[in-house]
Amino acid sequence: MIRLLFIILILIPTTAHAYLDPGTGNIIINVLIGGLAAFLYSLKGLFYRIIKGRKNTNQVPKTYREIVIFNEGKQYWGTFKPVINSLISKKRYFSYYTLDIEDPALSIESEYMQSRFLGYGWWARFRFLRLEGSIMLSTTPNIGTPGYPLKRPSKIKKLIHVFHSINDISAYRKGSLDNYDVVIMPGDFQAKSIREIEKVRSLRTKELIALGVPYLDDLVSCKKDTVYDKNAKTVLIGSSWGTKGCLQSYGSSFIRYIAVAGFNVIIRPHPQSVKTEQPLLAKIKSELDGIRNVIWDETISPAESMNRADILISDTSSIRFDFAFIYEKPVITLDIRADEMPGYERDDMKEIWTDTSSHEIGYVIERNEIHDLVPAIKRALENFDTSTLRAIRERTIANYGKSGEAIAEYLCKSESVK
Amino acid sequence: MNGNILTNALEMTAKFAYLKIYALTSNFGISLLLLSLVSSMLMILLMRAAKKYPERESKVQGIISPMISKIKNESRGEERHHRISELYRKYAYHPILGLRSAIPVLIQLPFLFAAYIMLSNLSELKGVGFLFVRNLGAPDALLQGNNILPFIMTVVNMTTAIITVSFSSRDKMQACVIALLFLVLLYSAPSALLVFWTMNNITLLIRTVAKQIMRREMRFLFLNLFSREHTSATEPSGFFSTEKLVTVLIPYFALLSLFYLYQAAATFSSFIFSRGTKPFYFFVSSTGLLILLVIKSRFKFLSFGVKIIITCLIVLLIVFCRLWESDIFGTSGEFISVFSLSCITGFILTAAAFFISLFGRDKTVHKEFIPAWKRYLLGFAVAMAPALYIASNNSDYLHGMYYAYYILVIAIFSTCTYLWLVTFSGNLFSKSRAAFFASLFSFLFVLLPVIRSRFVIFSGTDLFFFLLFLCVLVFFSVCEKLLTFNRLVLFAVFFSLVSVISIINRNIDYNIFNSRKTIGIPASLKSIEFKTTPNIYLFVYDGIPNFHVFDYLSIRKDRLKELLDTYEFKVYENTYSLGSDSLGSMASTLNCSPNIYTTDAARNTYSGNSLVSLIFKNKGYKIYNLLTDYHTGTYAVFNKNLVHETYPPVEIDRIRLNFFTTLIRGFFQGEFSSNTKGMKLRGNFTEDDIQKRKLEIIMNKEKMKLVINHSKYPHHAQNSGKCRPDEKDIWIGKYNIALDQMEKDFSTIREYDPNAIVIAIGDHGPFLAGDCARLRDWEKEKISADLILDRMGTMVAIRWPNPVRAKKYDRDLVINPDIFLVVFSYLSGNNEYLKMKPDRTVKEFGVTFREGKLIE
Repeated sequence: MIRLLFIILILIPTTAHAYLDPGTGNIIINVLIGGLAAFLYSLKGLFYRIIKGRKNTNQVPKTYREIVIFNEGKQYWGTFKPVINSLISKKRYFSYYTLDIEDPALSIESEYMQSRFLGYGWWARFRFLRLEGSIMLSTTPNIGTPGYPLKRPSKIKKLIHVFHSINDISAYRKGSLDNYDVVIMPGDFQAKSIREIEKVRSLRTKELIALGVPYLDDLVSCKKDTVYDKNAKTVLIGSSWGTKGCLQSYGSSFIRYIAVAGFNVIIRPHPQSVKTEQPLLAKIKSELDGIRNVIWDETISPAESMNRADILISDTSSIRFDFAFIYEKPVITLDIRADEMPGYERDDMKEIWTDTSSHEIGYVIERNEIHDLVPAIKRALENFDTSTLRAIRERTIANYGKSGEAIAEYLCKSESVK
Repeated sequence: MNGNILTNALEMTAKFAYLKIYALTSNFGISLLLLSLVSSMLMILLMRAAKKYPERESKVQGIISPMISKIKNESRGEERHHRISELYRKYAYHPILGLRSAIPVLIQLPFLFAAYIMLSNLSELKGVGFLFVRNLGAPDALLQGNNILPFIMTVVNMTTAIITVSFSSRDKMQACVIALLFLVLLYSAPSALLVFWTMNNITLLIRTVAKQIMRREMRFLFLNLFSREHTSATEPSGFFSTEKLVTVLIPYFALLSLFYLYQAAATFSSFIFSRGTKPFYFFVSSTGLLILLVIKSRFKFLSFGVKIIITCLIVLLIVFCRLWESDIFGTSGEFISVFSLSCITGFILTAAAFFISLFGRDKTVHKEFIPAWKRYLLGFAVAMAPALYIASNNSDYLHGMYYAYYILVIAIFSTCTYLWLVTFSGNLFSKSRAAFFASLFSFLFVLLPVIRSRFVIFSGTDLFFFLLFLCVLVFFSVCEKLLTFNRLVLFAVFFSLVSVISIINRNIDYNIFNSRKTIGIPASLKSIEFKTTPNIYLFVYDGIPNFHVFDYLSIRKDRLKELLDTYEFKVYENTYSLGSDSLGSMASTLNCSPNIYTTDAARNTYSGNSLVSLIFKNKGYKIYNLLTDYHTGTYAVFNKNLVHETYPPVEIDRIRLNFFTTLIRGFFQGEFSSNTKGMKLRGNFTEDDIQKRKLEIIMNKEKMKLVINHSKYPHHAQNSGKCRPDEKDIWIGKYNIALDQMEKDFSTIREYDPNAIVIAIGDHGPFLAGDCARLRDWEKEKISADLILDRMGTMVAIRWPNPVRAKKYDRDLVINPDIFLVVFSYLSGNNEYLKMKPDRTVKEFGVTFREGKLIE
């Protein structure tokens, strides 16, 4: 038996070398030290709790629990950043919960803000369910919808949704806002469709308020007017994710087609694709590997790529409106038909705002016209009109560039009314 | 370690896997390498699943470590603890979570322990050699008593540590120290363990090297080598990814596991059902896989309920067919029952339904510029091309409706592979790519018997079918990724290569096979001098037993006895063979050896590379082999120049590519692809033709000839494991045909070659008692000496030119391998050769048998 134990001890590090990814070779030694450290840490905690009477609680103090912000992942940081900054400058206490350990908000150190990473998998969902607060601001649709992972926390009194894109709810999955009490809309254009769905599903009437889209605040401030490549025009391909994304439904061939025509191409997959569709991205990358004038952008903020691009090709993604409204440059929409994306709110909607406005901000290319893409890009670059885009923006977006402040103001008011 | 359930279970599992692999390869060393490969693969797969835990840990460490250092610098004591606790709370962390980084290591432990315990205790390895290792069960002691393998292992370990780029110098040092510790610890371990261990490390070394090379220079080197513009925008270059390779190989492993699953099920069947349930288990296992495939498929338009119903229907069909089954196959596998056809039809319908469902419904796929129908047509054509090529070459083998089935089976095969790839590969494959690989897979599967037979002809070695398959597949896959060739071009190159080899084969002289090793002849036999050189006829009447068996089975032997008496044959009593199958039995007879021969070795022997043939050939005899493809396979070509005449004549371009039979038998008898021996086609030559040629040879008045013929009559009972009601009558019918043949043979010889030695033997018994098969599930207690003789008892009757001189050998001839030693003694007058008689003990059917009695 002793011999066996000895062999165990000897085998472990070697097996690590034999099979694990290189670099984790000394893993067992780390683990041994880690285990010891964990034991000592717990012992210390126990000591302070018993001897010094220090409380050991995981809960955020009550002061911070009036306003709660919940973020699903770092990709929505742009949506919350202006609101958080505004709340801090207003000296309002609030708590912030995230499902992403790399959420930049976790590194903010402010006496007014308590932030927590909720963990992974079922443990995170369990902790989410136990959150307490008067109001919770979230941009995650389908909280509490049957079949979706996040249930509505019972101790949250008012659930507020804020949009992370300029879009109506047609691009949300069914039941997206059914459990929300308040919806902060980018603009009044959305009210019609939300009310329509409430009627179809006999839901109680939500409070709707048009306060804009906060992530535009940041993008507006990042906008630059620099020409990056005088010799060739740059095409930005901004895809949505899942079946409504052009990367999945059109594949890589149209990108090759554009690159061969001499355009610089930047591919910006949806942050959700980066998170959940790595195999698809890997496949497309491999198919485009070796083409020099194609580059990928998987950063959190699209600002840099949008600055560089002369034209955007996209699908159902709301990046089209960001690009058209902020940068006032042309947009081409690749058509993805409704029957190609079942299970979305659009099934219950009579009129889809994005469908009609796609034609207002640029060309729409049908699937069978895909061979016509390059001439369409050239046409769009030649004849587009800045003033039209500006006019559409004026009537669509509320609080353009100042939305974060407006939302923070609303949250403070809403919480104090309570 | 006594009573330690865990270690025992581990040891048993490892031993089971190892012996299963051994059963396929019949070589402990190769099995060891395969076991190591399989276990590394399994571990790599498991580790891939557990990878997320260390990743999470390193992510959180990457974030909080700098913060903790900062806190440690800024504060002390209680405040420090408080701030660190706060940080941990923020990041939902506790130091105990650090242990999760060890999960992948823990997963490996059972594998490694299992191997360690099993290989240290496995008695079967004692005395078994492999490559340069003399005894796998003991330390190698290769260099004047010092062990070499531990050093090889250490060198491999250290190399791996040193070349791993991402290792820090501390990691490298640590790995080297551990490698040295290992050297000390395992220095006197059995060689098997070291071979296993070293192979594991080599797998890693290859993986590490491949990873590093693929990432960097090598790829560009290859690209430049083939002067393909790396910047070309129209054709994407290759992208090597282990995931892709693994996914391509999934169907391969699926096939292999199906095969193993079947084998395992067959082994365990006796614990649950009494006997004869082999096919049932195959159906259970394959149905299980089918259910998995159906339920896990991503055809969303089918509700779960519908999927269940489809599955149930398939199962019902199988059960229904099973009930209708009366006779699965004849031993020759040449006719197919209603049951088999129904099953195939069921498979065809199911697969067709899935195939149709692929079009039109699933919209989540990549639509590329080539229309879908063109892609599918292309894939289909690629899979069909070799099928048609082979079908046209085997027109006399496939006939009627089998043509249609043959083509359909390939279509189904390719469809199933395609479904597999599309269903389980996630987004790694576009449908067109999956279709390409599916057709490639079928293409290889169909063409591999050709490749295999070429391989055998050129090299004289017959690789295990699956191994060859794997090699070609990996080769192809790597080429596709490295060379960035257009896939169709690669296909064309491959196809041309095969064709060119075919043409070369057709036009070369087979004497180029000088590398062939002929069997070693003992010095005493090399110098044998014959006093007389009569013609020798060795006539095997397949399955005729000795008289004792006739009595035991209550079958009349009068006519046989009368025939042998009439033609003055000396009948030896209670004789038996050392093998219960024709090939093994005849190989040991012709090599005068007690060895048990594998099918391939036996074919090699029977086709002319035997002790007896070579000795007579050296003495100037002409060897006539009147043997069917079953007996010689492609070795008939390989050993063509060792014999004077082979009949039916061998033609290399008529290699029998019995893909269809193989596939069907694979489904129903668990011989999935392992039986594609690339046998030559008998073509239009029937048994009658062979018998006719035999008589011509007898009549040609040539001196010094050895004529070997193996008649297909009377043969033994069918192999189903159950006696048919009229089993005995059927056998007697065939036995009468054999008697007619005998009479014709003997009378012709008496007329044209009265001074010849005529040896008339059976190669095994008729299998008419017990289960009418190989007693696989028969209770050991019920196995009697008579049952053994029913399988191994053989007629041995020899017509000596000088019976008086032969009389002194009456007591020397008990087993078939004795026959030629007696003949040599008779011809040379030297009784020394009788000392070479092999041991007469037979170990088969779980019992030990010797000279009419069971021992123990």
